[in-house]
Amino acid sequence: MSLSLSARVFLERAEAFHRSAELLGDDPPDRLYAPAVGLLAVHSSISMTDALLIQFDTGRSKSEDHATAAQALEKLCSAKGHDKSGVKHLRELIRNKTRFSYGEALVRDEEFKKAKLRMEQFFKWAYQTFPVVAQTEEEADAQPV
Amino acid sequence: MPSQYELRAREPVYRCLIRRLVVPRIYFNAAWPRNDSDSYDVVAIDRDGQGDAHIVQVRENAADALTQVDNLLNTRAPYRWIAFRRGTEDEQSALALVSQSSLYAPGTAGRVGVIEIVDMAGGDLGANVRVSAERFPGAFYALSTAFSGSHNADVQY
Repeated sequence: MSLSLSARVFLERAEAFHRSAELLGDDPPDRLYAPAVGLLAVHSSISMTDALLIQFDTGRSKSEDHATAAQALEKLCSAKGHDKSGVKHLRELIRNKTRFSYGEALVRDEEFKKAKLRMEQFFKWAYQTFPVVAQTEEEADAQPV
Repeated sequence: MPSQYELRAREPVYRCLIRRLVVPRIYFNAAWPRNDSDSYDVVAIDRDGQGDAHIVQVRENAADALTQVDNLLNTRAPYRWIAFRRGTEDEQSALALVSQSSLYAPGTAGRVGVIEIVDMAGGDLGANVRVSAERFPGAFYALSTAFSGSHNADVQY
């Protein structure tokens, strides 16, 4: 199975956000960019979810309430008999989306760091559970070596 | 046996590579793709060990690094790199790096990438991509999955 063009758009976006979060979150200047890292962690994970939902024809959630995307991903895992453990990271990230983006209350840097860790764990789970998003570059007619 | 500098350079080299990768697994002095294969100073496998493998040979000077290219061209990995200390190029290696022709395999796509190791303030080492590696064609994902499934990573997220 190869990755569809639409899914690839979301995967590329997800990975660009991920790389940006890693770059900005690299110490020592992480204190400067912590809120941006948190936001990128949330949006990279949402984009990865969209890539998966599109790839498996479940349809991307257009709702602003991204919790529905987490539900859809869980449903997809159930339908395919896959491990769902990674969805908890997505749920936690989505739960913090509004607070990280628009909330008036101070968010501690540790929370942004935790968000980055959750993003990493969510991506690891996604690649292991759905290898099609990890193995996107080979030509369809490439011969095994 | 690798010099102290070459051993130290492995860290900046992998840090340079991970800027391009997502949750990679990093292996040092790794026999790629199997235990009976040649060993490489740094092997980085993208996407938690499921994706593209990047293999790197690190040498202190440019001429020594360039001698590794022939072997790299015959290796089974989508991305292949050499790394050396900036400023160590002699005339011949400088010309080879300008022309880049030795970095390509005849009759196929793909280019061996070049990473420069930089001496920074305070004695720290950094690394930058001088020539980007281009993907060699082939079906390599099964090698990545088998390798990451049978080897413990030195650096992992």
